Amino acid sequence: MGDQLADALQTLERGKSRTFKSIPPEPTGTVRLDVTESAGTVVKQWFVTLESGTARVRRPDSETPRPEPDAVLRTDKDTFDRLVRGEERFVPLFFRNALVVEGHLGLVHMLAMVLFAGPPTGHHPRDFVHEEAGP
Amino acid sequence: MVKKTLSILDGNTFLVTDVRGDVTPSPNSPAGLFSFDTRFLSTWVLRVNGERLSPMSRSDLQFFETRFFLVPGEPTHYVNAKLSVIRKQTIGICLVERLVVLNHDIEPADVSIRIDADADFADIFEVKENQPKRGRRSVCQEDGRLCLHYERATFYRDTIISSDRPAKVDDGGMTFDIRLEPHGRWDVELQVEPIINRGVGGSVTVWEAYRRRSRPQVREELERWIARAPRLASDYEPLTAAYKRSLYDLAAMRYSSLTATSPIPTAGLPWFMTLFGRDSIFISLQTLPFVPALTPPVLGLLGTLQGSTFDDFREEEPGKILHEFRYGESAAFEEQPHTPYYGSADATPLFVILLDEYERWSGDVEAVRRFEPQARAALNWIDEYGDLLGTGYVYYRRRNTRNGLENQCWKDSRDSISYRDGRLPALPRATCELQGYAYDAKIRGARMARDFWNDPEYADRLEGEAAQLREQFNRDFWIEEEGYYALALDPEGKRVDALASNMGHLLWSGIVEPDRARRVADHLLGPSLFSGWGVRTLSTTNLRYNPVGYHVGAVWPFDNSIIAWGLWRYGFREEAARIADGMITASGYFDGRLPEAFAGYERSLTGYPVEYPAACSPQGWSAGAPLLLLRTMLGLSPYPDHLAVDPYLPPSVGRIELLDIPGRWGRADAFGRRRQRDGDQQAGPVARLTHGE
Repeated sequence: MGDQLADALQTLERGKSRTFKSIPPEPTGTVRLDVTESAGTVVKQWFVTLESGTARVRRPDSETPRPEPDAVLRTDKDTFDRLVRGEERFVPLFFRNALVVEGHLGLVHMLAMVLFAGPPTGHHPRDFVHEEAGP
Repeated sequence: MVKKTLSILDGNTFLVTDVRGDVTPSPNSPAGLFSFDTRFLSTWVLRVNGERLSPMSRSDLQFFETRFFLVPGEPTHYVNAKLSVIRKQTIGICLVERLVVLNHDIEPADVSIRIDADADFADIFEVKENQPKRGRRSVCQEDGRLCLHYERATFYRDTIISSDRPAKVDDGGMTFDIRLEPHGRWDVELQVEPIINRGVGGSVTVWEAYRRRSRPQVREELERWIARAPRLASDYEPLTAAYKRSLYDLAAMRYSSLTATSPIPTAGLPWFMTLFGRDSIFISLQTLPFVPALTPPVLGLLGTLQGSTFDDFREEEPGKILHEFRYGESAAFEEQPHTPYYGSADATPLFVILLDEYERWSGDVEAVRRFEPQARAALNWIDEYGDLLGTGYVYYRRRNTRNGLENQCWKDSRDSISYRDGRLPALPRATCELQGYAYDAKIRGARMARDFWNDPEYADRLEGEAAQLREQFNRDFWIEEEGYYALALDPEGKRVDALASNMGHLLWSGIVEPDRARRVADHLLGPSLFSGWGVRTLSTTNLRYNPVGYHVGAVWPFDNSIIAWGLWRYGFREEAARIADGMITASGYFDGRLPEAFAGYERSLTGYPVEYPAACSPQGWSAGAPLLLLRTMLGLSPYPDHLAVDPYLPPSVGRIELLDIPGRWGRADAFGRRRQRDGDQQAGPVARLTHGE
């Protein structure tokens, strides 16, 4: 499967969002993504900076200085992957504490909206009406 | 027997008690301390020497504070009370209870003060539907505090109960054994703190930060809020009482979301103490001339949470404005779709309407530019996702067949949309007022595109679409032989021919052809829709009419305020004043607080308005109704350089003075007078303008 979060971040860095036509210009700031093992130890840290409709990503192995984050989003690798695939949504996970957010929640929420896919089962409402009506 | 309850609130944290300040376990009624949709106290019972107390009197000091004067035992048993208790409950981020125990005897007294406490951590939806908990509860004592805990996987809720005097703490509460001197007094302060997802390992999570966030003192904040609202004087006491009550209730019902910088309005106590798209937009529309500060955070939060993808469970689509946001366990574990739920077909066009109306009052062009992407996405939603059948009309059909709403208009109960003969139409359905909102959104969107977004082509396109919609709407919905608009279209495009209040909203939207407006107004004020207090949700001539039916006969103050606004728009001033008169007079029977709805009985039958059973009170858009009715009676319209005033008062009201109306002009005053003799209307000196503040 590879690193799905890495792939999604790479796509975002190219200016492409899974859900938005373009990355909204606001809010701006840096989110640190802490990827943990099941035991809770942080094994990887990504930094994503949203600014004026662009996303800058600092990879975990980068030599560049770490930016000061405005927010932290922390959860395990499996949960990140499910978010990337759209099998989980950010808000309910946040509410049931299955992921932890520190700092600027609005910024993390925006990142979640542009970075993660919608549910794979989602329908365009017109398609849904047609399917329900039958052939 | 109807149990009398009392509530105090601070946004989405509220306490519901009985008349002595106690909470007794009630699995399926909303008694207790609630915050963020969870019950943090389900038992809170005070005993003195083992006896429950009886109320002598109480003073409801403020919406956030009640004081009870109590004596031990049943009033029928006591001779002369030797002891009494003053119990003050104050709600903020915590519940604070101050007890003062007084010994009235000439002898000293040994007294045991006991408070029983427990928390069932029920989600508000579990209370509504009486469902059991799935997680694990536990209790412990820690440094003289009683700690009640609930967990389900990583979901944590805690209630921490502490006191400022040493107590004997056990798992069921705390006890104070005290000695009171003759005519002595003793007091204690108890604190009940609700904690959501408490942090572990020193991490300052968003939940922790929210709890620690310093917030303005409720009392000072309230004084500022009242001082900033226009001052009302009138010779009709129910009007001034309703205005004052509304301002207090609107202040009380605001809550700080986790992200919003300013508080936003909740919808109704006890069931709807959270963000609703439709309700918060209508409350903003009703209150813009009075408390414009409510609106920007509503636009901001709804804009931030605008849909971005297709999610069938949440009924989310790109550009859609949310219906309901919940923070409880059922939302967190996705047993309910409220994170957020998008099942409403009207909030999206209403968002565009609110943005435009806000600019007209405030002159805040910067906001119109800032929200341009969201407004465009909302306008796009109307045609791309709202128009389900490609017929040019906004239809709705739920994709969440488990617990989504069947009717996604403001009348969202299951049986609200019917044919005159009582049959329920198939889905999808296109109710008439949705088309009115879509039309108005396009007209207003065009104005914003031309004046502020520098996109005249888009403006032309929107106006063309609006004209097309208006033409086909007036063809397809109008029932010529009856002289009214059908309630809805069914999937075949056939008219759902019930006579209902919805078409009053069409007048507000301006989609009604002027030569048809008279007939519409006559129906709204006619005997089958108008009860004498207000317009019923459904006419008595329909088979499903029921005077105590939520959306099929009850009278809703919010609905009536929009209808009056619509009548005003088409020049039916006397009719609008009649509705205002009925509503304001009705509010007098509820201490100035209009409930969510009241029964559709004929006014002459009951003589007083009968509150709808289980109505929410206070209800946000019912509190907003007197404000909008004031606007229509005074005929207030915002212009770039002045506020126009064109009053028309009902017979019960002789005089209205509304001073310091905030807006783009600074502050302005409006006067309205009714002449004694012939009932002619007189504007006082047209608005006095004071520029700048």
